[in-house]
Amino acid sequence: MSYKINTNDFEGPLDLLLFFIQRDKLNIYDIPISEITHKFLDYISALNKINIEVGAEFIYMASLLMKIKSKMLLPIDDSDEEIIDPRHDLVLQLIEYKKFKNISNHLSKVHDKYNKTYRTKVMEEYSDSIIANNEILIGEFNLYDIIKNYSYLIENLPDSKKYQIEHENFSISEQIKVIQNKFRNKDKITFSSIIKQANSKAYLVCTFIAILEMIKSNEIVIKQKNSFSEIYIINNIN
Amino acid sequence: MDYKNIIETILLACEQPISNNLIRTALKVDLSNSDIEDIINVLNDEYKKNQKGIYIAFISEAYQIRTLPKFHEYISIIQNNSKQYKLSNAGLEVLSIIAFKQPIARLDIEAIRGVDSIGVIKKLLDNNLIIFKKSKKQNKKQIFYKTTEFFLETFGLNRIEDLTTTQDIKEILKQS
Repeated sequence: MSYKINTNDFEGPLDLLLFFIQRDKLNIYDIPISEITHKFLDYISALNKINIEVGAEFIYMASLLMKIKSKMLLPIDDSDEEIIDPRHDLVLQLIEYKKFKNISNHLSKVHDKYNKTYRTKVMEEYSDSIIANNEILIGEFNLYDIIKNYSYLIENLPDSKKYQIEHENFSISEQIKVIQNKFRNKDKITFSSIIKQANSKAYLVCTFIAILEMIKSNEIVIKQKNSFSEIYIINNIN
Repeated sequence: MDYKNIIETILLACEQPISNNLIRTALKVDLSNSDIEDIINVLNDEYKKNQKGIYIAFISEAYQIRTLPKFHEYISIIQNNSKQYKLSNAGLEVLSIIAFKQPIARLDIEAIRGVDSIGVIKKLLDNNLIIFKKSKKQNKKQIFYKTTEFFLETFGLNRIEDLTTTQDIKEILKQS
């Protein structure tokens, strides 16, 4: 089955569900959940096929539909005093959304009609001069205006300070070489001696991972007598 | 003095809606709100009777002379209305939710729509159709949205109740 549906036509998963309900004349209070889940999933996979990213809300709705569907397959336990239809919440949500969709249609009509009426207009030069005479207009501001202006100012602030960030160029393979070099004239080094050399976090992290790598390849062995005492790194080659 | 003619000329000469207080200030007479309303009604009746193309609208608690909608096409030829913006469906949806449920938090708007709505809310804020208020209750970080007076002006409404109590809306609410 294929659907010719324009994605821009839908404001979200609820809108899409309402579309199915209206198009196929389904009863909103008794939605055939299996049927509508099928249609919904078809729609999403159709979108995926033409490489349109499906919003998280559509994925969420799909999983919700499948959850309801599976709940409805379960046998109903008669001993429960109250049996709540698994579709209950979704139906309420759909009805509420439908209500506001209708209201927004009405609002659109009100807007269109009013847009067709015109007020008298003062000549533009005249109204400009009013504003020019009041350089500082004190009047209707709200919190949002202030935030908008503030963020505009912040964005357009001249750079007062420039910081230089040094590029840290450490890699695990390099740190392995550093440790290997230390074993040139001795077989045992302390962990703390390596840490002391660290002048940056990146150095520390890379060195630590380098040690783990070397343990893994049996290149070195780690020894420690007690907790928190010195850790010794012992050369395991030769 | 004929207050009726003075009020009519004030409304004709000013672009913004004129409140009862402004009318009283201009006339230097202490007319009551209902006195003014009576005069406006007389004017509107005259326009209707003589089949004029204008009417006085009561918008956001103020009066404004406007043209009748049916003459829209003629005026639009002369004035190009680039300024009149068209709201998107999403914008209208969020706006109607806020209009009916205000003050309302973003989460509650999104719960009704089932979709993330921050972008739409931002646009409505930019267009000055809604504003937000911080709640005074315990959860200090909660922000609530309300429609503005500009919203009323844009939709030609006097009060928000004009929208929520119209016959059409009542029918919609009855259906659900």
